[in-house]
Amino acid sequence: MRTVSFKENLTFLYDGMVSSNALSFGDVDNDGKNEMFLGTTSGDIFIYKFDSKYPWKTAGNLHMITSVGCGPVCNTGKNLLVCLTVEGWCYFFDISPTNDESDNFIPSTPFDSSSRFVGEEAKPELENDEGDAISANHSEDDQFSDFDNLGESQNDFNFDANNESMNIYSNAYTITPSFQQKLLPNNKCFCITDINKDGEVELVIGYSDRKVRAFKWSENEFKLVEEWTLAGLLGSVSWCNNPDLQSVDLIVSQPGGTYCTLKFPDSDKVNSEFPGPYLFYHPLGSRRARNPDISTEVIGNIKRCKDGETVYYSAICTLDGTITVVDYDRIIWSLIVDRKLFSLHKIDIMGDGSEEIVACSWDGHTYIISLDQDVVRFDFPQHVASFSTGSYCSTEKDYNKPCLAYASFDGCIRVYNNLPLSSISIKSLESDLKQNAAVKSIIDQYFASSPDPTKATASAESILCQLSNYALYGLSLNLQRRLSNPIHLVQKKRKARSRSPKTTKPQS
Amino acid sequence: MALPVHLEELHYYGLQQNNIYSLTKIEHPDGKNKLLVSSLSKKISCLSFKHDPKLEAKTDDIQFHYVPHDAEIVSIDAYSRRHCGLVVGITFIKRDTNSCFLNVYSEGENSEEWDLTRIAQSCQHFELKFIPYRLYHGKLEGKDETVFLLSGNDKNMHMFRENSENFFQQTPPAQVTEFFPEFQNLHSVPLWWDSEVQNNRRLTVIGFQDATISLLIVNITTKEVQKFERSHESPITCVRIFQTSKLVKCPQFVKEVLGEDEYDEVNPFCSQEQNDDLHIVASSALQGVVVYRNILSKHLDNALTLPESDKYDCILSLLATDIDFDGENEIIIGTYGHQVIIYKYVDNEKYQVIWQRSFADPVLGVQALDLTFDGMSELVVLTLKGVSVMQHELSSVTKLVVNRLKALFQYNEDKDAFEELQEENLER
Repeated sequence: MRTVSFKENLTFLYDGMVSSNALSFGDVDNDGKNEMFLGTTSGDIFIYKFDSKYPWKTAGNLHMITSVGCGPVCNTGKNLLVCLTVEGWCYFFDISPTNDESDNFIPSTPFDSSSRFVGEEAKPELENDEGDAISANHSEDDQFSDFDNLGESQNDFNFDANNESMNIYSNAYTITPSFQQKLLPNNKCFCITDINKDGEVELVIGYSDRKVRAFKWSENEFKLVEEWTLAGLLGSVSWCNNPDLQSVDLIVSQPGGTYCTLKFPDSDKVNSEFPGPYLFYHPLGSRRARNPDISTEVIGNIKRCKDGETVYYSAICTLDGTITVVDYDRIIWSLIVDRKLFSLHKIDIMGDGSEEIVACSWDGHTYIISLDQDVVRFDFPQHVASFSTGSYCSTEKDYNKPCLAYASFDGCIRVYNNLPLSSISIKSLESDLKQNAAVKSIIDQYFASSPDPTKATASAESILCQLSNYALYGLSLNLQRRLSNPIHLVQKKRKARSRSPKTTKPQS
Repeated sequence: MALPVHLEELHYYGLQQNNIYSLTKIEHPDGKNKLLVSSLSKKISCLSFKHDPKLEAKTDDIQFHYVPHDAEIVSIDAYSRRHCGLVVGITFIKRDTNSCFLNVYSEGENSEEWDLTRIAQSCQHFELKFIPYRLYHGKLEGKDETVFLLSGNDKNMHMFRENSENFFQQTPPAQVTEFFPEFQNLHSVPLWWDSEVQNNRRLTVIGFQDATISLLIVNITTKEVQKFERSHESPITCVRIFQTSKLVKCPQFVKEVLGEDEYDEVNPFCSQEQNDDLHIVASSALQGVVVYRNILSKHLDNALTLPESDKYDCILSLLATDIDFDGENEIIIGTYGHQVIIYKYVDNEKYQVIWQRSFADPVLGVQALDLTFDGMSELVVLTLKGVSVMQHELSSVTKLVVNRLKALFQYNEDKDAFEELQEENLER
């Protein structure tokens, strides 16, 4: 399997523990440049903008955050930061540039529990235990960092988050939720999409008690529109474009590497023979024998553009290391790795319009998989608390670039935003040259002699190899002038002056 | 016509901890090149690519016999024998007794054995009375024979030579100086050396632990040695001797098709009369990289420092190779500060950085080798924990090759114009 080592990354600091769905990217302030945000289990939200390692904005005292996301949930066209807590609270934050710091946001003083939780009761400090654990981890890391990072101050990998944690809040504005509502508890993950073709988005929440519920914003609150009960525990909720129905399918992962499509009942069919919501299980029967209870993640709407045609696929990964690309009930192909995969995302890493699947394991192995069945692996050198992909804008003048983000257990988020990959598979010059018409005709014209087809191909490869070797490393000096001087110029020159002797002095 | 350098990581081989003597190339006559990398902890890996049917990277761990469990491998080297077949040498320190050994692996004289797993089984064992440093090979002049050269902490260069019965023997010191007069009376431990043979002269440059760099010009027939020394301020980590340009010869089948001899290489930097086209590049532990240009006339007096080369910690490896396909060699440096930097000689007076990349670990070695069987060399970067294979961005190289091939075959008819151009090329 091809492996690469990315180096350039941005480091951001956070404080606390993060659950696996609570790291995401999105344009929360509606300025066209993406931000990154993270929610912790101790109830803080950190929003990062550009390359400052400290949060740009924070919010606190929200209790255990299970997932964060960004989308126009109110159907006003404006992106809002949405955050769900395990108790069932749904918060959202309006952070648009017009809505400036002046009225809604109070600048916070450096980390101090009394001032941070203005107007609300301060929560008992739970971070102490975690803080100790971090420092214990860190003393070990630091020994290595002295060795590894001699002369390398930029992008210092083993950043001492513990010393910095006091200052995390110093530059950030504290924001307060623009809206909060108690929904149902035990939520796990959510997605924001229009599932019923009404032109307005719904908030679809997956619960750890086998339920999926869709809420819609109307009359200044979220109202329940639909509820599904599944057979097994769900891992994640996603959606996939369905070109046949001109709508989207809601897909939910089910244990054992399977998934389920949730249909929204059509309004005109409500009273027909199928009342109520539809559930379509996709058993994916041809799978190898496996643990039927293994926890599973799903991601839908993976776009593939090939030959002008756009197709959408879904992908599934399991904790025991299977990644499967599916098209409804059909398995396109699957890959088995010996890592515990816990997070599944997609990204258009090469900017060619086709998206790649990205799966990450707890120990940092990241598999980037193209729909052409090529795989490239990147080993993030630490254990991962939360993983996400998305696009991020690292400086004011920059634009959104695809990136991989890892929240590790030492209070740092590493964002790899410069991913120098121009192809997923290993390619050589040979394959590119073989496809070139000019090279083909040269070889056919001059070197196609052997009648035996098997012999001919073998020697054709070595001929091609030697030709390109000579072209690259032998021809350059002799050919330079010839290529830059058209023939007629040379002939004129030759007429104009007498022939010079052949031996001339070299450049001094 | 130089192509802007744009290298991308083709593959990263994750390995265990390496050192600066850990990387050796295996250059197969069929172009199936491989890399052999030893790690400190006894593990020796053969890195290669193969068609299966897609091109894939492959790591084979080779079990070399008689390398004890507690061995720490110091250096590794491999060369191909005069007839055929591969010879691998490994030096290691046995932890429990602190004794040092050299193991030489090869099949019999006439075997055309390239299979490493078979070679790894036939071993010859030498106990060393010194701590081994760099293991490399050198050619015996006039004998068409390659021998192992091993530098040791006893300030001597040791030679291991294969006898007619295919047994390796340590050559007595007197004979070593007979073959390599430049290696007698060394005043310190040689950390790195490099040689180049030109016109009955062998130019050897040695970098010593005591911060001196020696240039030795040996007359091969008379065995006379001219010696030039220069002292830096810290141990010399790497030295290379190189020409401005080293062009690949025109393949025979191309000559046959084109029916001309003029297509062969004309090196504008190297005419017959004034053959002064050799340069040395040297790195020391605490300072930047120094290039001594035109060593045949100026010896070690014409020194140029590479700009910014002292900013990235200790420089551990150097390479001079043509990376931008313009026929002239560039200098590539690898530093402990995770950087690989490529310098180009511009305006006939200075070196300029043309490419730079930061790696995840300290860089211990750089090499150029075609690993993907396409005629284009990849840049191999040995880091503390692995090997990165860097490949040129393919679309621009493809364009370049196609243009050059088109030019080569289509100008065939117009011989006069070609000659004319060749002369112009010389007169610049």
